[in-house]
Amino acid sequence: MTESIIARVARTTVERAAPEELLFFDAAAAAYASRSGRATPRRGRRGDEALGYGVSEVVDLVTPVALTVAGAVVAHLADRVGAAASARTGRLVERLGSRLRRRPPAPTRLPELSAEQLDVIRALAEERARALGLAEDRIALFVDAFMVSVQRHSGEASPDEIAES
Amino acid sequence: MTGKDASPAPPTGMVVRFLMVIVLSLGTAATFYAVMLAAGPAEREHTVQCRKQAGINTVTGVGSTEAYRNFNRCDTANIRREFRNLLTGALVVALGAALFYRFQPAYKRRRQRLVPLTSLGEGIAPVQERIDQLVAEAGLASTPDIVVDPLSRDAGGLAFGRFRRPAIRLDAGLLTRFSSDPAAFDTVVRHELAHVRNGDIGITYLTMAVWRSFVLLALVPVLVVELYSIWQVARSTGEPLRAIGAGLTGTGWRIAALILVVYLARNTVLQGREIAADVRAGSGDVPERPEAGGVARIVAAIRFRFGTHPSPQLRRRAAQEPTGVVPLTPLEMLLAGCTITVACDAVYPILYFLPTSRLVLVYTLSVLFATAFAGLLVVAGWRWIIAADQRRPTPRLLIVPALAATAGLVLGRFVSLASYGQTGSFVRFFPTRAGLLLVAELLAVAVLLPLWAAYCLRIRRAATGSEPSRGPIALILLSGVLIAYAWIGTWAIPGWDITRRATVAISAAAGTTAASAQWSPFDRPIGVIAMNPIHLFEGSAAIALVAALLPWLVPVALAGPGLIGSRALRAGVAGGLAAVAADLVLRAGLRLTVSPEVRQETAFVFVVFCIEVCVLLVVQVVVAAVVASRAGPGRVVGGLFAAFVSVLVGVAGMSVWSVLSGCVPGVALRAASCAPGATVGFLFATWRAATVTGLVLALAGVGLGITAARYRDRRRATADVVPAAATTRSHRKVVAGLVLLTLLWTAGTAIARPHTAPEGRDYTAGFAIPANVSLMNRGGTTAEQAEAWRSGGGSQAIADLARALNSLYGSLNADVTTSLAGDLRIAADALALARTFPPIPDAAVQKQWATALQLAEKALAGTDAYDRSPGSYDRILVIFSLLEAMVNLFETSDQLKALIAKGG
Repeated sequence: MTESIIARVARTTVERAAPEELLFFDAAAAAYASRSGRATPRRGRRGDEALGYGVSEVVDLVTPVALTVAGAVVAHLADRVGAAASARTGRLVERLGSRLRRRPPAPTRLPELSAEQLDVIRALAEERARALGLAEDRIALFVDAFMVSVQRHSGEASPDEIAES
Repeated sequence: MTGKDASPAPPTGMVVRFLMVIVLSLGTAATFYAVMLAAGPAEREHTVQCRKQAGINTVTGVGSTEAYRNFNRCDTANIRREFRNLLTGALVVALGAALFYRFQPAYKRRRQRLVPLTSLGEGIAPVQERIDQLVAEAGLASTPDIVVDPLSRDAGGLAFGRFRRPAIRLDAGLLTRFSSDPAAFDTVVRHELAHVRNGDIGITYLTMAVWRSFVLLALVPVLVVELYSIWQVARSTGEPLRAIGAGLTGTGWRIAALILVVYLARNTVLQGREIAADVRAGSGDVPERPEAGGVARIVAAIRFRFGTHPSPQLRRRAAQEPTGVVPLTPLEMLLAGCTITVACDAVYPILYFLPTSRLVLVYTLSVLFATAFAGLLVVAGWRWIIAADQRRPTPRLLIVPALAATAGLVLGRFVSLASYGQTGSFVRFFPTRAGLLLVAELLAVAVLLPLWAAYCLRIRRAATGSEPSRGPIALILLSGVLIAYAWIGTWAIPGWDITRRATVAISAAAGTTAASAQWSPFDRPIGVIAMNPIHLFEGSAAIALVAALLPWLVPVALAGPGLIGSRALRAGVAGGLAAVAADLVLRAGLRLTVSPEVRQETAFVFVVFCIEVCVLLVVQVVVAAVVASRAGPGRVVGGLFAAFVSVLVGVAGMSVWSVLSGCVPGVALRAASCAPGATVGFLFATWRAATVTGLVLALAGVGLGITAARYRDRRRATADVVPAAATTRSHRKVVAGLVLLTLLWTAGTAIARPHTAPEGRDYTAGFAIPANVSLMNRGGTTAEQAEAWRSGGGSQAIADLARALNSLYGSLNADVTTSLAGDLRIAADALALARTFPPIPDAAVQKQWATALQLAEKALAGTDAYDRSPGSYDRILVIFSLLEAMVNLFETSDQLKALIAKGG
């Protein structure tokens, strides 16, 4: 089975930023995929579960952040490209169809990205990583790793392929 | 999962609390359903008609056993329906809980997308290897199912699963700690394995399942029904605010309080398990966090109180401090007490409709909840003492936890939905002296028993150096069960007459309690005799005595060989023998100086009784002071121990004199036949009165002894510096304090008894004697008299009256199986007989007879079977007095005798 572009981008990010997490990356990616990319990584909400350890300590895990940020970036690209395609075709039915599809299949490749797009993605990644609670001193490292990953995987899909997804 | 349990879980007594939460939830759900599916007006009217037909007073509930039997036959359909409603509630919630419990692990795995640790590939092998090592270290026979939440950024874990199918979830964050911080990884895994090892999983998740099922299937429906009911009332009356207010003051606040009680009780249990797991894992090194201050601190405390885990500070402390395993904070004790009463009240109506007698139900419930009581309070107190004893020379008095537990037991009655509808019960209960004394009594038991046991434990350790095994501890538990059995069976069951039964029952079970002061020698000593506890356990004096002695003798057995050399024991025995000798001198002196006629007066009996008790009190003060004046640890408990032993020995010795010289009147050296068990009752009364009153005085004696020891030591140290006058002054102060304490105690006892003096009798003045004294003395002979009257051609009415009086005596004699309602019934029967008696020829006697009859009927009419106030009980005494006076008329009037001789 081909790994989604989200998982590939995230894996590359983890390889660079937190290689020790590769141990459970596959399981995390599968869990993320099974949640349709809607779930954000949990953090610090389990401190008081019965028969839990009871002291909720949040670890700066890169894997869930990478998956979530990659998902957000791909969704962002899909929205932008999809909107442009719809405007081009002007087909109302297609627009409605794209809205009614709740769970678009994850694309397997990224399109070629311009410098401007890469800047937008960097800003987006930084914003999401911060919102997800990644430590400040690790955000820059994470974003750098993420952008390297995005650039490595960009050009693997055409804009139409992204839009169709 | 675990093999032979060579290392049992740390003792926390929490399992019983788990069970109580389950019972509480199921029982409350049953009452909810009974409320929701209550009978309509037609059915209620049918019930009322059946009561009337059966001869049960629809207002007071007074009725004979036969009447209730008839009522059950008449109203079978309604009774069965109500039983079905109750059962439905319990079953629905139980079924829901079973489903929650069954599918909870699978749901958790699916919802959190948990994956097996082994599925993570080859790289996870070191982690698995380390976990296997920790499993072996924890003493588990096999490794639980280890799963991972790969998206969790927490560095924690969770034990979950079902009974014998444990699983442990590791958060992904924790896996990263395996390499970066192995110690932290081990701590968490050890903690979760400790939960498995302690057997927490099955019962914890069962409790959670019951709670969720209760909320979903019982609480939500009853709230909907209640809101609908309020809406209906508001619509029909046009006064929504009043309707809401009525709803809130009716069931609303009870439901809210109940939820709070169950929720907090559940959390205290869970927190206890967490501490137990920490202790098991040997890791109290939860992460440090800065102590908050001010409001933040309060907020944090509340947050942890409503959480399932205690604060990190407490956990760290608990790992180093053995008493932390068994937290006995006031709130926990309050909740524990409250839970017991509420659960008992909730279960009672379910069993009440079972096709068996009410008595069997009461006893059954008493046994069940007495076990719970022991599990919650007695065990907790006992284990706490053991833990504390390992580091303190003198165990702390558990006054605050005991007070809290007592308050919880009392509060439970008013939170319970079972008491809904008994408007004013709160007001009717608390003003009574019996109610207040009950609280004091529970407090006394809760404080004294652990102290007693701890002292004996120390003796054992000093003598043998060994810790107690589980056998003696189990006996202690049994003692607690017996105490609670009597208490719950007589008070916690709704509708029972607590004014008399509970005090008698607890006094009998606890052996020495503050409740005895209700009939202390300063008031109505004969009341204690009349209400002797020999009928407490359905007439078995042996069981009653065992119940009374066991709580105190078991710790003595626990002390074992070390007890023989105990200074406190020697002092106690010596003091007791001195009391016995003094009693002998007293009796001999009285016999020589007092005429036989005077000695036969009942009042004389009480004078002797009081003197004997006073002798015992003095002995206790002296003995306690002597023991406490010696240097060494545990002098307070040792002093109390010695005082208690002196009473035991003293009363045992006095019993010899009593037996040799007769029974109750025998204390006045008049050999005579007596009512059954009166001797036992009398001696028991002496013991209780001397011990309870003596407890205060013994404490004063301990204070005296300690003070004296301090002055002695100081004088030795500074013999030439401290003037003799100063020492004397100090001693005088101590003595004055002791006298003042005694006076205060006496005054308090008198003030606590604002008797309504019936018909000119002043019970508080001196040693006035209630009329039932003579009844009691007559108890053994009345039946014979009745038979003699009948066989001698006497009036059948008189014979019947005599028999009725005999029954009355039997009831008076503290037969706990009857209630105030039963007494009223007997009194009513006796008066009905008296009404049928033919006119008496002598006009003066006839006038007295008519007056007595009229007053007795007036007293009967003014007595409510559920009125627990002292006035109600005194009215019963009036009836007894008047009946006794009527019988006396027969005995003293020649005309009546002639009338009897003629056959009425």
